[in-house]
Amino acid sequence: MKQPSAISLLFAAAAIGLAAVSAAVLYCFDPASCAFYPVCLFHQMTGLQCPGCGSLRALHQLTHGHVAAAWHFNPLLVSLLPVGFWLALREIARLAAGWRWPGIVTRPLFGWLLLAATVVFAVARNLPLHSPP
Amino acid sequence: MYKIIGADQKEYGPVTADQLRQWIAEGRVNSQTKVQAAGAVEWKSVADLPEFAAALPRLAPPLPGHAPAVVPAAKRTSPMALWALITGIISLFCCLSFLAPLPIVLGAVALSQLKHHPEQNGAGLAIAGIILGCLALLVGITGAIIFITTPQLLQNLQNAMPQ
Repeated sequence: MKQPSAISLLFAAAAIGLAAVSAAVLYCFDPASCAFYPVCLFHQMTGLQCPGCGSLRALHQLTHGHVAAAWHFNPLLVSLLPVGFWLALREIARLAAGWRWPGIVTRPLFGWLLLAATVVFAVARNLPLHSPP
Repeated sequence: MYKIIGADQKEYGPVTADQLRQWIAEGRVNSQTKVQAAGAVEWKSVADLPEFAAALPRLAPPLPGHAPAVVPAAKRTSPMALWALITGIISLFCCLSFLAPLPIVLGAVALSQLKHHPEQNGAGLAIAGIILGCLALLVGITGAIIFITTPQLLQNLQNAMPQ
């Protein structure tokens, strides 16, 4: 096992710090009522929802433990978040401790599935089947 | 099953005896190539294994230092390069432009890994990922600037919010 370098440790620490700060900001300020969050250009120009629209509001709800409300704002993000957590944890473990955990979801097949899911979700959420969030 | 050490000093395999015979026929493996049978501890020359005697060409052993390069069977696409492209496409959606650093980093890492893995390809995918990531970054920054400098948009957004 290779000894982790100082730069790797710094990267891992910076990633954790950034995630913690983002979570704190999202916990304290609701994107639905606070103005300083960035806006979606696509939504502004077309009025349609892009597959990422509602992510910040969903994350805000999640930091308060409201999973159902988060799901309502962006189901794609909520369902992918555990996978993202796992990959981030794996990467941090590799950077900080040199551990190599299996990367099952890093196979190319899952990349194509993710792309397909994003496109399908982008279309589906703009169909007039239910009221938009 | 057998493992071999190529001219690039890397291990290839395990492969079947038939596959190894085919490599011999294609000139990728010669009588001096080091080979390890499954279960065996030591590495031997192909010439020392009787099961490949028939497959080896009846030629004098090549001079040392002139061993033909072992070329791996098929080039694989680097998964990281592919992920750079896919995350690049996904980060183009405005709301997901916060993902833009991902394809840039993945693409850069994939490019540097490809230098050490000539048996993989995908440099084009990695570069495409980096370019898409930069575009997404631009979209994100433009969105932020337009938003900050246009009070009307802010008003629209607040009106559009669900109650």
